[in-house]
Amino acid sequence: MTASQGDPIVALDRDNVCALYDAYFDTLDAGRLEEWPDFFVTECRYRIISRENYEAGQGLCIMQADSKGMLTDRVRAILKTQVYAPRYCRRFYSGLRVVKAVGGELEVKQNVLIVQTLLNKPSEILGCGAGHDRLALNESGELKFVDRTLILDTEMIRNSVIYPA
Amino acid sequence: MKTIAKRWPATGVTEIPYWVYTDKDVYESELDRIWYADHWLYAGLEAEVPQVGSYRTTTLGERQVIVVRSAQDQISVLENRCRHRGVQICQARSGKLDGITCPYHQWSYALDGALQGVPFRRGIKGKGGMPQDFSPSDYGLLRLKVEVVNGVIWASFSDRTPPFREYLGERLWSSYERIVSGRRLRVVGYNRQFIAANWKLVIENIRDPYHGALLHVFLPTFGLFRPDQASEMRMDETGRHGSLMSLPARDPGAAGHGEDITRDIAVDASLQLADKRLIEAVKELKGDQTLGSCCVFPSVILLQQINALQVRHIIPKGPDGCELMWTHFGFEEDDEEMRQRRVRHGNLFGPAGLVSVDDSEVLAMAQRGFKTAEESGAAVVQMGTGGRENTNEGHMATESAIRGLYQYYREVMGV
Amino acid sequence: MADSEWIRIASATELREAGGLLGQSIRGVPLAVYEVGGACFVTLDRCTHAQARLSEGYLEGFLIECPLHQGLFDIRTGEAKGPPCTEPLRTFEVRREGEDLLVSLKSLQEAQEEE
Repeated sequence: MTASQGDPIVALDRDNVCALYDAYFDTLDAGRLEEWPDFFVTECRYRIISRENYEAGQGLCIMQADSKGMLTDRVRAILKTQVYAPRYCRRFYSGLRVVKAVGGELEVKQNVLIVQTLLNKPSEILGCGAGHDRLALNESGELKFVDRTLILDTEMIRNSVIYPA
Repeated sequence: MKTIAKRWPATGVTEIPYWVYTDKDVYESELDRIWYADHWLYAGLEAEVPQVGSYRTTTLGERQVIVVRSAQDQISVLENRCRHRGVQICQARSGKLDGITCPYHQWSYALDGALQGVPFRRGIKGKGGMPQDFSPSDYGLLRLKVEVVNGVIWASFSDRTPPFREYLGERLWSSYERIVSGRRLRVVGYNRQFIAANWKLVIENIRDPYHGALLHVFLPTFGLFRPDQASEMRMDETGRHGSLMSLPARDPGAAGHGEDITRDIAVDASLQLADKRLIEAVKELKGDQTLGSCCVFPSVILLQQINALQVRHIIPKGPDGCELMWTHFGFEEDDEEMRQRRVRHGNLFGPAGLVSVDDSEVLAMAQRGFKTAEESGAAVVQMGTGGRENTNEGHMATESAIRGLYQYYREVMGV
Repeated sequence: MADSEWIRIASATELREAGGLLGQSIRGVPLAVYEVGGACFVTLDRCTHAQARLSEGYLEGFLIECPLHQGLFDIRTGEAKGPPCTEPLRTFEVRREGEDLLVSLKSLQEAQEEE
């Protein structure tokens, strides 16, 4: 969804929001992790946080970044340093709604289900939660995440969370 | 108490038979001889129950308890089970109570567990009711022995458990006090995971300096831990408790550690962090250690690494699994910058930890390995001084603390 | 005091036959009526702890024990005398005229306002 000369700047409307989420989850589902940070602005925030901590106003996350650089570090660790059993991960989102549109920023919510499949094992739900996100257009007129916060109902994680969602 | 029929290999603790990790009878016996016997179990932090009536529910061994501030200077740890018909009374994780009342028949207990109210105890207009000699004091909630030490709440199912400091031993007191010095604590948050591995593997893992720079490639890659850096692995006199302290090798986040040791472990010396704030730390505790742990057998690891201060609470779930509950904390006087730093450092730990994932995944792989040779297999634990003595050593090429642990384990389990 | 300022709530016989502890609802106000050694007392028939009916409780001397959690009140003063009760109980001035037990209309009206 890059703007090139002559193209209109992407409008802050529901169709384009859906297109962003479709592309975002497709990138992650396909395992193209190196492309994941590009969905965010430079000074961004990303969190996977338990509902327990979120509702108590406590800061500790399962996965966290407060810059695009930190997202890149997470990707590098996943690809180069972490040790884990191989798995597929597929994400399903629903109930997407634009809650607020203020000053060039959209507040968007959606439900998310993460299904994980380990080798020779049945698929299982790794996590179920709600995304509370803020989106905005960057300088090139592309729609990006300013803040993506995935609040997990699943407070008891089955072993590990490797991939973002 | 059950006697275990299984025999330990004649080689002693340089081998750990797989059945120790997989056998159901052994597990049940561990509950009786360890978890519910004269050992202290981690029950929470004082900071989590700040006011009279504040409570949290948690699990000690397999038993659910209520940890409640029952009076200004009194913490009670009560079994979460009505003495009437066995109902697990408190269903929430935390809250505030005036009293503890079972929803089924409204039997009411005071905050210290004393049975206060039995509806229609005297019958209704003289008909029915409890027998005349019914004595409420015989039916209070089961009370555990409690000791609060530097803001940490310890509980025991046994009255015979010695005072905590004696239980921990003087050798490890300084490593305990370093992390929880008596400063007022503030919870940063919780994380929870189920690890498909025997609970003892979690304890062994924190007492295994050998794997530190070999499994956790993140650590030597970004300069946080190296096998040749100054470290000390200490045990108490019994071998059951352990502490690992490690001094920094060089500036964290710096690139190119191209010294021999890094090449030996095939680390990509060209990898650099894009955002060094991920691991940038400030000194806040006594000493220059970037890693300091105190593992109090059987239930908990208190640990500091960079500015992530944490409690790892172990809850056994049968021989093949356990829950790990992480409580990250800081101090009341933390400013916003420190709070944010602790949240960033939290990335290394927990179910998605840049370091911790390696452990939870590898331990699950170990458990899968054990299951394929339960009756005949054994782990080989010879790494260290001559591979035969259980001594505290100042380097990381050792498994002495694991041998020490099982020396104690064999005594307390009678195997 | 004029007779119209007092309301009949029960008969002494009724009370005796109820074993000295009787619950009555007068003008929507639940009342507990007690008899101890010939003297009569009246309190609100609602425990200040968990709202149970004290008239279903256990009277021993001047102490009424709530049937739900065995909290105690002194029926003469309404004072909470045993945990878990801490808040005092509303009492009513009572008068006997022959067989009739009466409470003051004023105290009844005050209680009505809180219902």
